[in-house]
Amino acid sequence: MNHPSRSLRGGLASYSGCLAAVILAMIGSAVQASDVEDLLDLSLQDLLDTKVTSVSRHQQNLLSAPAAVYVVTSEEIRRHGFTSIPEALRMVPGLHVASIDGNKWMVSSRGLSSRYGNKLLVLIDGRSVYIPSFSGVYWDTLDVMMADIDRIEVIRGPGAALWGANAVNGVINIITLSADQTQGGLIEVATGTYLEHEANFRYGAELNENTHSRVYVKSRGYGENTLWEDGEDANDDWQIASAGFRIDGTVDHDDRWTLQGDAYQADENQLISTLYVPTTEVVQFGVEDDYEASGWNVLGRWEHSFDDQASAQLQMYWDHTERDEIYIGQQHDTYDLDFQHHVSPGSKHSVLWGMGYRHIDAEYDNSYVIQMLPEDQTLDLYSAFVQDEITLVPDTLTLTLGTKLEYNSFTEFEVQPSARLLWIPAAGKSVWASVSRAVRTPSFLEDSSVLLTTPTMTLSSGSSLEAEELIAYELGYRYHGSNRLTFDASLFFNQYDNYESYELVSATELYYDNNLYGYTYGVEFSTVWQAKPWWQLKANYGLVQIEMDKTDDSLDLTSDDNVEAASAEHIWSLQSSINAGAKWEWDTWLYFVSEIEKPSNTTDTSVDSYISLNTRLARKIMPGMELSIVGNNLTDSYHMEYIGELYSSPTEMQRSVYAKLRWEF
Amino acid sequence: MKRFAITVKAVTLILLVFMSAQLVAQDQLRDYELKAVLIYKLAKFVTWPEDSGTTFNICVYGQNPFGEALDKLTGELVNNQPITIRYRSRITTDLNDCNVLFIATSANGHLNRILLATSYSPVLTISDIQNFASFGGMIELTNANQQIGFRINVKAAKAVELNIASPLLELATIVGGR
Repeated sequence: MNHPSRSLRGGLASYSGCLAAVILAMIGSAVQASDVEDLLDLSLQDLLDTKVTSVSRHQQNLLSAPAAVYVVTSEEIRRHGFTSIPEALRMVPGLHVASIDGNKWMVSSRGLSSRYGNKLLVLIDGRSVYIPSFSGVYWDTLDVMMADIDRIEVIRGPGAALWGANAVNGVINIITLSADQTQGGLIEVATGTYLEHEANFRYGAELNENTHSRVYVKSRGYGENTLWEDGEDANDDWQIASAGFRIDGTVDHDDRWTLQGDAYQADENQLISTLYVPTTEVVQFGVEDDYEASGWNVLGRWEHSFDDQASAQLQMYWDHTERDEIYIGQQHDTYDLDFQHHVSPGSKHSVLWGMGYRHIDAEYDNSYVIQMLPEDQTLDLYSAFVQDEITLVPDTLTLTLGTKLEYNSFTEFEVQPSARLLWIPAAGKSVWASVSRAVRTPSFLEDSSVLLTTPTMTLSSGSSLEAEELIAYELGYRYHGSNRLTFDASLFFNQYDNYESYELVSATELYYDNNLYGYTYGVEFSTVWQAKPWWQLKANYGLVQIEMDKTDDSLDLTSDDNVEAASAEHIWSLQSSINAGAKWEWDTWLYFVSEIEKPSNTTDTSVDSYISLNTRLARKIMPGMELSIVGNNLTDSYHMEYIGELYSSPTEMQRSVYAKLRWEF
Repeated sequence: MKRFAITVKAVTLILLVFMSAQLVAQDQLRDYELKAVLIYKLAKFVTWPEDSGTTFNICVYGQNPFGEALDKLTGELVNNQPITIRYRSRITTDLNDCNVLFIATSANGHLNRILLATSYSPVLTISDIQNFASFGGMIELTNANQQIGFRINVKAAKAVELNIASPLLELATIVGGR
């Protein structure tokens, strides 16, 4: 009889023991973790001893990035009154930005300038806007809501290890604010002598505790500039209207998602300098072309954070563009899928790897002068990359090794590796060096087309066009010893091979080939000085030298000289930003570009050096409301900045003034 | 009966263990919850030059990583001033009204301009961006072995007359000498 009772009693005791242990464990865990309120009572030492169970990914500091990075911030965009992306890029040392006419820009990084600046990759929130038909960017249709831009990150030099082909001389990342950072309303209206109207509206709202959204509508219209020399109207007036949205959400802290989309419609004008009719002597000069460009895109992104500083990201987008110019109609559909995974195996490694697939459908409407053969084309692009950031000495020495492997239907496999070393010898000083390889793959135009350069001369695709190759050597130094003065310098030496040439195979035929080679070198400086609490000064300078040569068997007569003569050697800018009290802002900036001997291979006209003076004066008239007046190109009534290839008419940009009212509510 | 009791005990035990496991899972301590509290604790070791403000302003620049953790500090006292939390996404003179400015990782690209803009005002800059303290920031929060640590740039703080008490310095790695 005793046995069962004892056993029962013993059982009860052990049961209550277990129960107590479980409850204690529960209380223990509650004390150890739990709420912010509970943590407030702990001492600093106790807090430092506390283990966290969920750790976010560590963010690399851009100030100590082993690359030539420059950031244009939202504040600079607002304080300079920039109404378009290319204008904002004038702030970046090492970039050359020039207006060809009112709706065409030439943007190049580290020389090798051309309207189709084919060695620059441009991304908006992770979506590539590089046009594969002509390899370049149609800057006119990058109609981003300027007030919603967080920053424009510009990496000069190859970014190919991470971003892939065509990130040869630079990568431009336009990053907009997340929806939770753009809550409330914004109205901007502007009018002036050249910017005839600008009207922007954005509204951001909370959909629920974890989800925020914004929508925007905007419209801009510009007047005409004048033709070089004769001062006639340049027929380059244009307008564009856009609308879009962005939704950002979080799920249980660990997951973030974004859904965004835009649509735009542009009505543009241009003056075609010469238009040929094949095999006849008929040449039409000064043809007025009224054309449309439109497009839309939708992008989704999902990011998941794991507990151990690891994270994964999946992104997909569909981008549709249409452009209907007199010499060619183009339509593109780009489908892109991209996966990235970041892991930190051990304390010394930080590994980022990823895979991507892109499919492009292109459809053309041919004319006499440009024939894409066939009129429907497709491109498939498969890529994978891996990058390891290795800490050799903590907080002092870091080595980043990476490579991208890409397969494209034009040139098949391309390997683009890079090695970058960062050394922080003392607080506020850093030195970096890198060696990297990058390629520029042929465009649809170079791969399969016939183009009429004169009534009796055609330029067509060679049989086996290869990718252009670059080996880049870079060295950089940054000084951030004091918060009031910072300094950034970089040196580069770029070695190009298989550079594009135009082979004269008969009296009437030119072929694309890869018979040029050469090198470019240069330096870039930028410095910022907070001279007074109310006064900031900035200076930027970029120098580039180009040496090009052709192989012995090349039949290209002029391209090596043309490439050397198409870029400006010196570009500098000076900027001053003044806050006068809490109400007034006054910004002034100078932009200098040296002479361009021969901006394109189809013109013999040189472009003189010029200096432009620009200024903006703004006053807060009530909380959230600001009135500003902006003057551009104030030093001369007009000047020419660049001449585009083949069809563009040399155009001079005018002095202009506009006034803007901005209201945030 | 006995068998029944054992079964009941076993089931309750399993349930309790399961529940406590659930509780632990829910009570996972996120780094930003701890960082929010650390910002408050750190501020108590710092002396600001004579302060005219009526509130103690903790500002977050960039995309808020704290969720609501930081908002829970609202009303707590630092220097006898009640804490208010402000969220900022623009570099304007308003930043100089912050007593503490936390720079979120999303604002990585703005770092240089933020530090320049606040370089004449007693704004205690804190961030968990790598090498923050090496490049002009005052307090860098680091992660190692699931624990949070500090790197402190004393000179940057002194340049704007912020005095950091030695008990805090003893717990930190000092960057760029005292």
